[in-house]
Amino acid sequence: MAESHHSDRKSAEEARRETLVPASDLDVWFIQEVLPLEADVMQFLRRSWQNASDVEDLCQEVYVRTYETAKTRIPKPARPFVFTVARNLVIDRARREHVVPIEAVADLEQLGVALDTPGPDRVVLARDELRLLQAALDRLPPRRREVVILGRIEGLKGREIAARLGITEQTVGEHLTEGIRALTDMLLAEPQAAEGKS
Amino acid sequence: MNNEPAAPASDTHRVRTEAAAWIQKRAFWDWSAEDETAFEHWLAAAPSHHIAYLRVQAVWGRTERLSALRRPMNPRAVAPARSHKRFFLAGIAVAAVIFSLVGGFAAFDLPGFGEERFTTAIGDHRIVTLSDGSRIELNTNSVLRLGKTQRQAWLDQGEAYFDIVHDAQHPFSVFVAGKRVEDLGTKFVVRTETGKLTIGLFEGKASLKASAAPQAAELAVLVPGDVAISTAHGTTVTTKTERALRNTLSWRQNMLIFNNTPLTDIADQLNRYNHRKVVIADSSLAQLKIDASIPTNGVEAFGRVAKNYLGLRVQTRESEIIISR
Repeated sequence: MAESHHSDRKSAEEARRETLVPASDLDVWFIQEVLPLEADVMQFLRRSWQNASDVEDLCQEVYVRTYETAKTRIPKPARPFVFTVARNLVIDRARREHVVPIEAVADLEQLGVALDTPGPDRVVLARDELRLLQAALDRLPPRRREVVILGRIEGLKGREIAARLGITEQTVGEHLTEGIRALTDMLLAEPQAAEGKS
Repeated sequence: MNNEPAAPASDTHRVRTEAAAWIQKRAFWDWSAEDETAFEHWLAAAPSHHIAYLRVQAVWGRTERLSALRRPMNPRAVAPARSHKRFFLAGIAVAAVIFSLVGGFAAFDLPGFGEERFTTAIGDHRIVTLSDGSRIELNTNSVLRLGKTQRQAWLDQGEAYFDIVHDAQHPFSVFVAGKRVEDLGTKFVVRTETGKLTIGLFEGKASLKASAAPQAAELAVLVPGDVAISTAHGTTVTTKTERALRNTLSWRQNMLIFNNTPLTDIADQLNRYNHRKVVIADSSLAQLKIDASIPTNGVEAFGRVAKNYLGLRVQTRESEIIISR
């Protein structure tokens, strides 16, 4: 290692030391502050973008940009930051694809109010949470629902579920995978505000 | 991972399905060290993977509450659930307070002569800043001596994280458990326990020598991600992903992060930091593995989780809490 490079390297390292947020705090922030905005982000994206089949990808891109930016400094509050990222993404994408996101721009003005106010209070009573979870579970196709219940509620292992239902282990794995994925989409699509929002 | 036809599924859809597939595999099927490694590599492969995992795992964690619907074969399992979030936030608040207290030591100034000795009590955590800007963070119940030149340190007990400024003329050496770690401008962590020495390397490069002697044989050269474990039977080196390795340093923020970890291991870790010990009284619980983030002083919080979420029996005494079925 040449000495002449040393000071450069050191200052870069020092800069990083000061700005790097530990991954765990970042993850906690992302889970507690960003994910609960998903229903609102998706609504914004659907209104701002003509092609509905792109919306899931756009939402994921909003998450990635938000998360990557938050690595240097966690933005507080999260809500206006996430919506700024979403807006910029829509505008970037529109420019690239030569379409005009009129609604996105219009929405900005309306969102102005929402951006300044803190997000809805997400204190969900344990009983409400259970009801939400149960409702999501009930929306799974019957066989898939049965597999998830045996695994998550009855506490059976994959092999035991396969034996109990007389289906292959691979099928059990597919039901669990798709069941978990679907529950995630459904539960994040629910506005989580049980109280505190008029 | 999944056998879906590559029909119109978007990239996001695919990645989220993969995240769900990993989560169900870990929760419901045999899970080997190879699986863990493959999973860690998948996570590290792209930011979108990590995010898809956080997203699915966060909601899957919420569905834990569905177990309250279980037929009441175990009445304790339906005890009213405390808010996970509240527990977590309380932990973070405590961590933040402690961290700011500890931060006061960062300006600690070393006298320029003689050997200095630094100790931490159980549950304590201390940062020593050297005159060249190098930093050493001592974990709980540890003893470190620093040589006059500040380029030699003896870790007599416990664990320390070293963030060393490189100086080609004066390599930094750590003497520990009869061995020597010579760094070449690095960040690394060293932990010594009875019969076991563990060294994890985060940045740079370091050499592990068989003894304190200058001519000692080199046991291993460590590069980022490497974890060397020395016991009476020899030294092995394994490679971990950055995330897995970084989780082992969460004590620097007064947190302990566990992934799919047996309760007995969690108890052992917590016991390093606390006078009140966690005792797992039921040997069958050794196999119960959970994901958890617990403040290092979170013995009571851990007891609450065991009781409210895992439906276990928790007896609290002055010097210990006893967990059983």
